[in-house]
Amino acid sequence: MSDLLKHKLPTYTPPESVWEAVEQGLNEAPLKEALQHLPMHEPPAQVWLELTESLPTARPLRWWRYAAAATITGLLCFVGYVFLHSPSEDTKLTYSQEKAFSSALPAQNEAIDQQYEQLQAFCETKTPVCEKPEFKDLKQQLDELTIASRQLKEALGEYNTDASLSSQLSDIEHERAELLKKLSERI
Amino acid sequence: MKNILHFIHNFSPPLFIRFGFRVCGFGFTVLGLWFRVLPFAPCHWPLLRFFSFPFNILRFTLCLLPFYSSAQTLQVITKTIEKTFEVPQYAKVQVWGERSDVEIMTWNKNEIKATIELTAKHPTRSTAEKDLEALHYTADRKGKTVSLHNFVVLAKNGSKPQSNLKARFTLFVPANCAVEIQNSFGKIFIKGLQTQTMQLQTEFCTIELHDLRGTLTARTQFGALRTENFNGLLSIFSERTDLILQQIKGECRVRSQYGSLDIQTDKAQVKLDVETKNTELRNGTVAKQ
Repeated sequence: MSDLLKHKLPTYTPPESVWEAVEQGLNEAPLKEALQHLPMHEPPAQVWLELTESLPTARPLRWWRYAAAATITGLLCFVGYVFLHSPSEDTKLTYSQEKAFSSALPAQNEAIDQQYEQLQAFCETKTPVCEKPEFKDLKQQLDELTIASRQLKEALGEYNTDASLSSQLSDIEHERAELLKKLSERI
Repeated sequence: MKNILHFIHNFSPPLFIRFGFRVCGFGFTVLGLWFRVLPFAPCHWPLLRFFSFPFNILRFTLCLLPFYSSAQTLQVITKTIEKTFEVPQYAKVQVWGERSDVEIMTWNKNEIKATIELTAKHPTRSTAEKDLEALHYTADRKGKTVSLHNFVVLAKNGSKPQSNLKARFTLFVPANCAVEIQNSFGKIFIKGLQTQTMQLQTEFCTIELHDLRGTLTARTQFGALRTENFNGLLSIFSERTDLILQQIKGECRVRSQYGSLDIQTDKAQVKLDVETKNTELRNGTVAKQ
């Protein structure tokens, strides 16, 4: 039977490396067995500390680089958004010349201001006439118009070219003159 | 120049008297007749050349100098900014001006187009340029509202600009755009709006309103207001303002102190509620005093 099988079954020859591996295993077997019987020793803690110090330190995480990159990206996005969503704008500068005629500037009537100051001084002395209701009413109107006159003069400046503002000031000065006349008649 | 010619035309005497040198002496002419006063000047006197033809032109120019001097030349620098805002239906435009002119007109786009002109006027160009930098503006949109504003920023030393500074806002808006304006020392012109919110608050302004429909409330001090062809609810609270109301329909409420009031309209088409105090009423305008 065995002879019959010998002839019928195929025969295989293992590669050379298999025999080498078996040989190496047989050689290392006593060493492995001896290792299992070796005693174990715990090193002192100082050794581990020294070992840790001797190791190269870990590279710190450079977080600020990531923050800067994020900020720049954010800024770029914001600028892009502003440019894309802001309304269209066009700016230009032009130069020209204009004549400012003295007629556009109201005639300075210092007499009215002087009379007004005199009236103020007069009423500061608590003269009875200044306490009369009719007088007070006219005086109040005059005060309001004087404030308005000063505001307008400031707005007009030295180089006004707006005739409508000059006209308004002329009207106010005319009314002030009328009021001063009425008030002086009552003194 | 027109003023100068006007002056010459009005003030030239009918009897024109000329003084000057003739062939050999000094004298004057009346109605073309020569009267010699000083027969002293020799004919070849070089001074006489001063009165030759080219110098006549110079003399004429010199004579006009006093008139030219009254017209000062101002250097005008204008910064113009154009901005366009896309807006939804029933948007609102808000203008807060100082010494500014505001002009609002309508168009069929859903956009508000603003042209802002900032101007400085001064005889010296460099001063005008410097002062123009003090005149600032803002133009922003927040939601449905577009806001425009101009203002002067004083220098660090607090010195005021010497130039005449002015801003001008020219706006094109949808007809149904609400409008709110505050202004002083300027002009306001509005035309064609049809909206329930038109609010004006002004001092020393000249206001012109044309072809408006809706609700308008104006609070004015000094200046003048003229409205023409208004239909809706018109409320005016004025002080020392000259009011002219022409062709108004609907309801009109006026509270006026001082100034004047002139209502020129078909009284059958408007419900008038007018109360005045010390206001001059013109053209048969009736009001409760």
